[in-house]
Amino acid sequence: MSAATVEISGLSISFGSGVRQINAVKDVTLAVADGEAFGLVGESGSGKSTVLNAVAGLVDRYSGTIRVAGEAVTPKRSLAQRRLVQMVFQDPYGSLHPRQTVDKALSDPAVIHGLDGIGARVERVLADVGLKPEHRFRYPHELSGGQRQRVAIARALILEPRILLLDEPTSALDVSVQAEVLNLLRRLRIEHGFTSIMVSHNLAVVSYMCDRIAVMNRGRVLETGTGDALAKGQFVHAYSRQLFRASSGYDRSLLGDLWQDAAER
Amino acid sequence: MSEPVLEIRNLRIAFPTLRGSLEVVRGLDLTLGRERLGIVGESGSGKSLTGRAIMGLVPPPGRVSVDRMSFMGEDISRLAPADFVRLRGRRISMVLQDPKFSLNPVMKVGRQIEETYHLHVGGGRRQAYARTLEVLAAVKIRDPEAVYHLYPHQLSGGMGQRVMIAMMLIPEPQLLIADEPTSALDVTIQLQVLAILEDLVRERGMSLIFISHDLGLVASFCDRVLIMYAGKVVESCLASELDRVQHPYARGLLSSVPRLGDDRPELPTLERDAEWAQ
Ligand SMILES: Nc1ncnc2c1ncn2[C@@H]1O[C@H](COP(=O)(O)OP(=O)(O)OP(=O)(O)O)[C@@H](O)[C@H]1O
Ligand SMILES: Nc1ncnc2c1ncn2[C@@H]1O[C@H](COP(=O)(O)OP(=O)(O)OP(=O)(O)O)[C@@H](O)[C@H]1O
Ligand SMILES: [Mg+2]
Ligand SMILES: [Mg+2]
Repeated sequence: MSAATVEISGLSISFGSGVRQINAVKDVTLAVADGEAFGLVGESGSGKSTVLNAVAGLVDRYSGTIRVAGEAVTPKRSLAQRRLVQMVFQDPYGSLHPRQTVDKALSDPAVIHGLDGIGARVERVLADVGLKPEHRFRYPHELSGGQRQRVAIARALILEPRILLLDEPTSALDVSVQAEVLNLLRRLRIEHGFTSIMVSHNLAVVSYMCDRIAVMNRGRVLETGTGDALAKGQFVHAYSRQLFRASSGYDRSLLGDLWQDAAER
Repeated sequence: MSEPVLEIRNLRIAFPTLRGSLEVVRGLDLTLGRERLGIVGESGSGKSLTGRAIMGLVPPPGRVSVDRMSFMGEDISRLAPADFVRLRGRRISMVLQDPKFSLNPVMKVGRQIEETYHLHVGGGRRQAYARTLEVLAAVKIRDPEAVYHLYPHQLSGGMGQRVMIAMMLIPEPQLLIADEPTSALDVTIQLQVLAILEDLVRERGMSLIFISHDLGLVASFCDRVLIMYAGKVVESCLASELDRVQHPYARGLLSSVPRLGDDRPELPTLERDAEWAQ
């Protein structure tokens, strides 16, 4: 089996045209190694979700190249290519169909991909994410927010992807459910050894979860370093330093010297 | 203390289920002055429904009962729905938890903000447009003119939240209930948005109820904090003393937060105790 790597090179993505064109991603180059946990942090609207969407094959038009497991991919993907990469979306409420039971949400992708023993797979993945058999035939509104997010993770896991894309997987959860989900992701990573890219605004969470982290601002990657370096405040770009300082709570005195450099080129 | 801005005694909210009525807010008391009051507590503990009850927005078939609910001395516990409309917006506003749910999916966000302007301020097209760009810029939207023309599904997570906050800046309410208003924002934009809210509290005497899962943020931004569990307030304290709370549930919450440089192999999770819900 080839290594589950993600290589993004010179990726640029824009939406709209003319004066209203939004350049969401500008010349982004990243390489994520097999089995690595990679993090993306940065300004709201800086293109983090768009980068993940492109890796997942959900962006139609872009320039640059995306290689998954060594193979150049386009938005048109084979079933095998689609199975390789699964994504947990930013919005846990919107990503589940309100009139679909948990069982249906989990078995549909397995059916599409022609997997066998679907019932047993659903049972196994529910247990994996810490849900009980009684949750299997419930609808989303009959679950708590944290349980819904576990279903979203289970749906990504049922296809046994080698690459998992996680967009703010815990920002809508209370801290105790967040701890459960983070423990789960760490345990599954040890057991299954997948490669992951996680987006989060919480520096403590990303540095706890990720080997390496890239900081994005206005569509660009400003710098990349280890999770450890981020936690110790060793990132050097002015914007990264601000993120670090502002992450220990509300401190109005930091307002004065926010990095305003547009860096618009 | 001068007359409280908001006073609630024994708020109860119940939903009918197959096995009878299920009470999800169970006797909540709250007194709010001109301050920033944080509400924390686990998912499902009744934070959002409490906010909705103050706005008269508990969805059917939910049933609300309360011994006393007064706003600036006026009894609002028995207001007819039509009278709540008069109260909402200008006097009490709420930033809802899920922006993509609360925005109209088929209308440009700029037009939605303009509608709020027309409703609360009146004025002509041109003033509405100018004010809309102004409030978008105030919440640090990079390119207000371009974002004016976007539909909600074209916004990033944090831009959606900021559009909701921008909308609230137009009517200048006396009481703002902000339900997870900054959970999708990076910390530098969060800082700037919170500074706007702080100015409204300090300079215009607005009162703020700030619902959040971010304990560190609540501790540093708010004046006082209520900790909710299973539909009740189990503890309240000064925000600056949040890390010294006594209740085992609150202590459990605090310990499950990862800190920068955390090297615990596993994060502690809550072992819930049936006694906490008594
Ligand atoms: N379908 C779309 N049409 C037009 N613009 C879009 C679309 N999707 C994203 N954008 C724009 O692309 C930019 C980047 O958005 P993206 O969702 O990637 O940001 P993000 O870094 O994930 O932000 P957040 O942290 O707030 O979620 C934003 O300006 C957004 O408005
Ligand atoms: N329309 C409804 N019908 C039935 N039950 C409901 C409804 N709305 C809320 N509830 C229940 O009421 C309880 C409190 O909900 P609420 O939304 O106030 O929680 P919360 O504290 O805001 O949680 P979170 O942190 O996840 O937002 C939950 O158990 C929820 O399932
Ligand atoms: Mg995003
Ligand atoms: Mg809520």
